Amino acid sequence: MKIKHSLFTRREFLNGLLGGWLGALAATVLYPVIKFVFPPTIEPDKVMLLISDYKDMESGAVKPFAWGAKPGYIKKKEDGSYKAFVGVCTHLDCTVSYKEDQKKFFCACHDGWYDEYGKNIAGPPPKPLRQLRADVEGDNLVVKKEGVA
Amino acid sequence: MKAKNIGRSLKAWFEERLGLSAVMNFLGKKTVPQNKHTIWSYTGSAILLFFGIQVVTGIMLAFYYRPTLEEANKSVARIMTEVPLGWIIRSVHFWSASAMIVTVFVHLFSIWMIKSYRKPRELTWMTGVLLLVASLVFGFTGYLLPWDDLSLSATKVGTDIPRSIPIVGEWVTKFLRGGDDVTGDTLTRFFSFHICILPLFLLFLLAVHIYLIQKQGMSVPLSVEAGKEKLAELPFWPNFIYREIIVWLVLFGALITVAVFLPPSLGKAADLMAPAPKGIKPEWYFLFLFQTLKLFPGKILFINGDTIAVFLIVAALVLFFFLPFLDNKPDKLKGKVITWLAWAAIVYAVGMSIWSLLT
Amino acid sequence: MKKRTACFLPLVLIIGVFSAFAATIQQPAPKEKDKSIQAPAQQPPAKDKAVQAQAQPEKIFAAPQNIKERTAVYVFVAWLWAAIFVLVYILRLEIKEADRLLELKFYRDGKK
Repeated sequence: MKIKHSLFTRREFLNGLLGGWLGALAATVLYPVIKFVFPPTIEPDKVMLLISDYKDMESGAVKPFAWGAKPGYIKKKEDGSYKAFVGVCTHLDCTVSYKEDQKKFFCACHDGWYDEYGKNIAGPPPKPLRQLRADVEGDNLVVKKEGVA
Repeated sequence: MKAKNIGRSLKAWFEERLGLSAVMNFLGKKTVPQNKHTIWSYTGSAILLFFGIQVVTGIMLAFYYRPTLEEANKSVARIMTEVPLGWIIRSVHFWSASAMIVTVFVHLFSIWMIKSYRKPRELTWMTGVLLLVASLVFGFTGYLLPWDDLSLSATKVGTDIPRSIPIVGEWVTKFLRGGDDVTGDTLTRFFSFHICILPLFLLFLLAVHIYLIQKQGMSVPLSVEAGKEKLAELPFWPNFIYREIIVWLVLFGALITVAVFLPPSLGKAADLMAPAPKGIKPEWYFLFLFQTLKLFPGKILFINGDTIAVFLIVAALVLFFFLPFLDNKPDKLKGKVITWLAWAAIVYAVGMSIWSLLT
Repeated sequence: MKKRTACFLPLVLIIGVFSAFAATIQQPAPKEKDKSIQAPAQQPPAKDKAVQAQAQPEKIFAAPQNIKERTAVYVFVAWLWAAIFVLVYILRLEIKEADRLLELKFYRDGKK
């Protein structure tokens, strides 16, 4: 279907082309800049700990460990197996502490409470603490993400 | 409301308060003289391009660089290996530094040859010389930051040179090094110079330099002024700016290509106690000075050879700074001699640099 | 035609001097590549220090780590130059037009 007059002038077309391609070049240059400035967060796939550090834990006790750059907690369950949590509060990322006497995790920032299984029970945290698997393999206590083989 | 209307009312709002339209109108009328020397007027903005690239890549590198003795080398290694595309950013920063300094020298010599520093542009020249010094100091301070063997040695030699100046020499060296020797303090000091003091200094000088150029307009070379033809002028916007963008694009492409295929390496962390490695050389833009210093014998008539060399270099720099006043009769023989001196300087600098590279 | 080719002279000069020094200063192509440090397993602190003490490589060469990255770099550079060539072409058209308007004294009245 033919139209009587152009939708834009030749000048507009050329200027549009120039602007568009300058934009494409800018995007090309911006891409590595963005990649550089937002590096991927490196969370380990697994962390190997020495079982000797955790062997003598009492049942129900909780001990801290380093999950990459984040704080973590190892808990020894009643049946002797281990459970791990990422000790980062699900509210606004403060590091939680463990209250021995009350058997609860506590976040001092905004008064958040989690029970001994990491479930959020009081205060602002919207979700339970992130769970990790902790299995004994030989001399090591290997902490992995949930669902990873 | 249509976007155009919103745009218009926003513009009017700012105009009422800032009154920038006067500036815009002035810039809109800017012209560039068109003659056989016009091509050299692209060098100034090319410097700006490379400097802009330095600022951006420099800021990005400063996100990950750690300016302490223990971590400097490691952090650069991390940038090169762990940070996504860090090696490209570092490479661009490295090559753009050299590109900027090459362009500064080309710009400088072209101005010298066509004598754009004649009245009333003396201040523009003088701020330009200071800008050259600032660029070289940028290069010198930046060179130490990776803190590897070569850069440590080069800095040791470089900061030792002012010592040969009588009376103030010791103080200058102490100021540069943050003590008697090159230590971790030197590194943090150089870092502070490189990202804070020098940028402020350079930006101030640049503002003066560019203001003067806008206010006084682009100069017309002597040969054209005296000449018969009508002085042809090209409007800056849009004719000249389109040409300038082409130059920028090609230079940018060349820079990125070189940076991607020839990235700089990193030596292992410097050991302050280790003996100097073989073949210490400063960066290429200092080679001719380095070679000049080497030429002078240890002692000439009871005076330290180095002292004389440094004196001569400083004297040359001072004469250089006051060139517009020395060249007060540009069309006479004196003027021609000064132009010839420019060629002599180029030959000297290039010759000395090549000699330094070969030995 | 002469003017147009002469326009590239300072460009060629800058690039020429630039590459001359690049050729004389740069090292030959890197032989060893530094391995990427992706640590999936974390050793307890005592072991860590032992590992660090031994191998600090003599020189680190920067380069893309694998074939995928290398190809990405080539594609990036190729695309960059393609965009630049297109832009130079468009800009030459713009310059022709702007110069034509200049001839017509179009800008004399302050119009754009």
